[in-house]
Amino acid sequence: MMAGGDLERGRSYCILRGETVSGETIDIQPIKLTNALYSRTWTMVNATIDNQSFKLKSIHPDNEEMLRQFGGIENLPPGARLPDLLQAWGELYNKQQPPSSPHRLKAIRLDMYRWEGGGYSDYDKFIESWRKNL
Amino acid sequence: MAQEFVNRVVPSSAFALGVVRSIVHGTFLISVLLTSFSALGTLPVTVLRPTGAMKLLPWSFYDQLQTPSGMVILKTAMVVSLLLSTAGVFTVISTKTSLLLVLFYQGLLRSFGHFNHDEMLAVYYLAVLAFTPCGDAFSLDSLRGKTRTERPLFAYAYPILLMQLLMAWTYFSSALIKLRVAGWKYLSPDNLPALAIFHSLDNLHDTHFRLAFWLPQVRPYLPFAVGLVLVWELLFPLAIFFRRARWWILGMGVVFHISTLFLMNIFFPHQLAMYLIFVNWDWRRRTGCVSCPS
Repeated sequence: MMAGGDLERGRSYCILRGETVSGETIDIQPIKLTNALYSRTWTMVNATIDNQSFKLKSIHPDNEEMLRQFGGIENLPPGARLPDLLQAWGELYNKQQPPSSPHRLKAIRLDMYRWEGGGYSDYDKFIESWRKNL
Repeated sequence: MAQEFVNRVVPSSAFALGVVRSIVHGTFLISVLLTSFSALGTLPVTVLRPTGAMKLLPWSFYDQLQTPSGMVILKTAMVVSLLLSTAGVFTVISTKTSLLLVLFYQGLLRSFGHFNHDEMLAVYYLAVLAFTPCGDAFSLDSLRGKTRTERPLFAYAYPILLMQLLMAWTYFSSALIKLRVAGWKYLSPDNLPALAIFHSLDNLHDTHFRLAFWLPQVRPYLPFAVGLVLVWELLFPLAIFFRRARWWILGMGVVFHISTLFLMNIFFPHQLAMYLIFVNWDWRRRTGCVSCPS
């Protein structure tokens, strides 16, 4: 923020969505699920996509194990821990719904888009998606 | 002579410092009460990236803590400590335990996300209050006769001055950093719209206002608005020494932070609450006036 905005620089961003049991796709606001993170959710998601928790000097034993399975950080797919994060958010969302509600989620996903910059248009070029069945 | 100067520019009583203690600790108490710690405890510990001193704690500790029940225990400890420090009970101890617990909690949150600024000034205020006689008045300790009252006025004035200086520094240094990092490019007409639109595209921010998309229409005027904010930040230290300028500067701060909420979906509620340390609580107690300006 200190450097200000740069119109020429492209930027990626994410939208959290849920697929309900009734077949609807709805936007989900993470702040309503984990309000403690307040204003830090978007950087947590970016860091998770970038696998930053695997790049620490001392990494969590479960992450060490995952690295061993993949044969190193270079083989790790982007967002290796995103399914865990999506699972946690999906379960929190469903806990807020009555058991018979048609708004309960059967899956939750994170859609990534990119604004290439250079002008004030074309904000939503789709890049990729991470999906987790609940 | 320096002490006389300090006593003149800021409130210099145990009462004023006690009110400031209640405001700072009370702000965190409300914030913690409104937060779902059990939901935070469901987030996977494997996305955590301990930062700074948080790296000294072993992963086994985070495995125990980062669970719904672990986080409820942390919340309970924080609520008890902040209740005591806000009310001024066992103030010498409770202000220190509140500082440690809040500092740890803020470190944990930043280990998930990023090092944002909002609560940081108030955390520094907790550190100042933990080592000053902020429970000598406006506290249950003082009502029970558990505090001493024969300290020089300077002992109550300098912590308030220090806190006001810290706030002034956050704004003043913010302007300096912007100029150092971006130079005059910071006044580019695309600076604010590009940044504001980026922060309005996702649904991961706390709010989802779309006012940023209107900014390109008023692009030619934006360098003046950004320049005005820079000047305001550079002049913020005047709020400490000139009472007449103070309310204009703080008023502009309120407008600025509300603008960032609507334009960028970024808000600083803790920082705004800390503006209350600029109120002359001594004067308000003498006059019994709450709504008129000092």
